[in-house]
Amino acid sequence: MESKALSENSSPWSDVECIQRVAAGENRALALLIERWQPVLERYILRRCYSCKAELDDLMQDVFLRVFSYANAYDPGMSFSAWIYRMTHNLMVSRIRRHAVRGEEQHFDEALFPSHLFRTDGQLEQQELQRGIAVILEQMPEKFRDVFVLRHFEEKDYEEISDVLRLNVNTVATRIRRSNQFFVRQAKSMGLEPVWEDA
Amino acid sequence: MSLDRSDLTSKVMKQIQGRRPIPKYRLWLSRHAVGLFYGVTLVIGALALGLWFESIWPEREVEASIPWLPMVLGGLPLLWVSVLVAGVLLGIWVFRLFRYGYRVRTLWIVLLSLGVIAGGSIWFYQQKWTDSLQGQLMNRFPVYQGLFENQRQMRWMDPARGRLSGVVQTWSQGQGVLVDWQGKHWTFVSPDSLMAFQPQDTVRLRGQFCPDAENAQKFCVWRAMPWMPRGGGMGGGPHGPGWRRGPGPHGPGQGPRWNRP
Repeated sequence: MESKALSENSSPWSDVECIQRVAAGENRALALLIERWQPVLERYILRRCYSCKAELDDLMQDVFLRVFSYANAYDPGMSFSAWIYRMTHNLMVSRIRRHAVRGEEQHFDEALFPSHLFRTDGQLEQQELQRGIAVILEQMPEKFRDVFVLRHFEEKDYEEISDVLRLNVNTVATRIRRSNQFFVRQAKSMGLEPVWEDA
Repeated sequence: MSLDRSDLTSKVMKQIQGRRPIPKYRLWLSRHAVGLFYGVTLVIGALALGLWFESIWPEREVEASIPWLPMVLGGLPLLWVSVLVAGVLLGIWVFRLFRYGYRVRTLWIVLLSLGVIAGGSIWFYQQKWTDSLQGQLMNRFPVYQGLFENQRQMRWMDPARGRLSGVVQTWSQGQGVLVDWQGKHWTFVSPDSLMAFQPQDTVRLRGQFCPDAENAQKFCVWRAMPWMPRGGGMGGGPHGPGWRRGPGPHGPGQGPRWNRP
């Protein structure tokens, strides 16, 4: 995974060591975490929240300030990735709720979406496939979109998704299955061919 | 658009300058306060159920073919309250605060909570803590005594279901008149061997309306007991001297002293 690769390559300290150092008062360790996780989390936010682009900077600041404040709450038995994704997700969801109330404009960047969820026969360009994914996600109910993005784009396993969303693993499995079904149905109605027929 | 990394880093580092993360003890307190509240709720639920056992058990002699059925039916509202309280608290606690709680099925935790409440109440009852608590409540809060006695009196003013209580007005040759708690007069028929009634005795009677047409309005008694105010715990108090619950030195199942052969 990208985040693991970043963790291993860019510093002698692992993510867990960094957060433990932050908890011990060594604030500069937070800079390392920002360096590693900012691109990953930004991409996650933009994939999941189409109305967050304008406030992305504030949101990222909030995420890392919260990481700092709650450094002592990190449990080394839990995956750091799940922990930081959970914080990001929670902050993002509260923004999404506010945006929904204000009726803010939705905007997505299709380049963020991988096209590997569709079979390509050469007739459709990759950009069109990516746009197809973005449009389907926009139509997908929120609770399915959460698991779908984490599973297919962020490549999290069921346990990690369960930790991020605070859901029972069986509930995660059910939601993934239903979101896949929704995706297949919508893709077919748009004339696209998903890589799996039925979930 | 997004900040570049150095921008974000410098902004965040500036904001956290001179600050420290939230200390562990504050996180621990916030996480465990609700857990503690939940634990207290379980204990209160168990005590409430135990008090209910305490109030109902000695009154409900084995009268049905399924002796526990009236207990279960009578206790449903209380159990429901316990389920509601435990369920709501669990919902908050498990899914918001307990770190891995969301991985456990809610149903199991609710069932476990109910098990703790039920088990705790039986334990409190067996340990006679609820008996003592009830006595304390009755001694300290006249309202509680009033409510409790009133409920009990209402239960024992139901001759159609075989329960009658009140003050004996007259008694002679196997027949007497009893005034119930609402001042209504009842004629009752009782074999002399059952109990030697005296005028002004406060009693409770088990029986039924006499089956023969001649005595159809009379209450035929098959068991007679003195009316003992409840509460006060063991060794005297409102129960009266000699009252005791459950098996004692006279052997199991013999019940209160005045009811022993």
